[in-house]
Amino acid sequence: MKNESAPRIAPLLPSAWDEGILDGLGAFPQGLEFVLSRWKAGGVDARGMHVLGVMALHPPLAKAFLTFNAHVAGASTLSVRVRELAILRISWLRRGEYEFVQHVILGLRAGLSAAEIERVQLGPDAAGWDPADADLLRAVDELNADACIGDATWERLGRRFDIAQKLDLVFLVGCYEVLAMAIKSFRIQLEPGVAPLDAAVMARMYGGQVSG
Amino acid sequence: MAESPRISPIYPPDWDADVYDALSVIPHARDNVLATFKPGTPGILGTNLLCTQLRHPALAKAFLAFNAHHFYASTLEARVREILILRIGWLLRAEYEYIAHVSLGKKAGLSDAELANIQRGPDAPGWDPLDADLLRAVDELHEEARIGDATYTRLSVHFDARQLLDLVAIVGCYGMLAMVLNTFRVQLEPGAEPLDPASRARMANRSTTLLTT
Repeated sequence: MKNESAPRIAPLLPSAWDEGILDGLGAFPQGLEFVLSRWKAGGVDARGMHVLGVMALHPPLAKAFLTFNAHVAGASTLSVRVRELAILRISWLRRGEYEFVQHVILGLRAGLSAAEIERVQLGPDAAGWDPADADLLRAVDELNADACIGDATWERLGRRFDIAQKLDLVFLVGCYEVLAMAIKSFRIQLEPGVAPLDAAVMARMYGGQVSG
Repeated sequence: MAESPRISPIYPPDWDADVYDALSVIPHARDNVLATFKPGTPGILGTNLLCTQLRHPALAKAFLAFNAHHFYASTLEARVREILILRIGWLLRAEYEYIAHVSLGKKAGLSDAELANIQRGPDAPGWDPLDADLLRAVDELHEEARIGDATYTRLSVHFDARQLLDLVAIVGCYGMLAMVLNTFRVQLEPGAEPLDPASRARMANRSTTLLTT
């Protein structure tokens, strides 16, 4: 077993980002600006820096993917709260610690309570969900399990979301699944100063509890 | 494939300026659809998938930029790309995607025997070891959202960092399209030949290899 804490592809750090790289990473301006500002402030808690640093090795792909990521993370027709719930759930199901940690922070900022974030781990059937939130999580679970939202969930989602929102939802889940695959395949590590998941949550993530 | 779409595609006669703006990132697909579309008989395979996304032009423009990378600028050769796409389409039971890429796979040099073997997976007899590892990487990404140690180590001998990034990204991209095709029940275009019944039954019962990690 190799060291899980060693990256398979070492990220380029911002000091090595040249014009071509900045052009690629600039397709998601908010992400790039956040990382650069943290880097200039000493490099602590520069969340996202290592993902951008790996993408920096391939600027054309970075530009193409981040153009897409910028839409689902910024221009989407879904509310921020809905987006963060869906991202947290797909990250949880795919055991994407890096993403989950980042989106706990963003989810709290989007208005999710600590209890809701805890409940995302338990899934759609956990007690306490608003039915619409439960269906959102159910849609993510069905996309993960079957690559398709089931009939009953689809019918109920239709009362809440229009066509553009339903498209944004499926592509959002897909986008964060791509990120999970890249982060895990290349063993991209949390940045210095970013707190990892606590051991109990991590154990639950790997315990295979995919639904409530 | 169920018989009616959950959302209807928007076809060329109804395309507006926002749609054309989205399509500017994927000019060859736009031109192919425009050249073959006739009202009542949507043309080439791919039309319905593209025209479904175009119900939301801002999203389509952003996603198509990512999708276009894989055929305009990927560091992977076409044959490798088609093997990866066919396997993830197969695993996610996306008949539309699979059919489209059987045709593109043949153009990229895949033989009928190789196409049949993609259905069987990395452990089927007859694979070149590198091709088997490509299939194994797809199976592992599907099952575990990561490429396993042994497979990664062997792939790194043949592929550099940019190619490995393109590999993961293309599997993710076409996995996402499979979710779109299945969820929105995107229909094959009239005249397109569906999957043969034996392959369709195998697809419904498909399995991945057991992982050893």
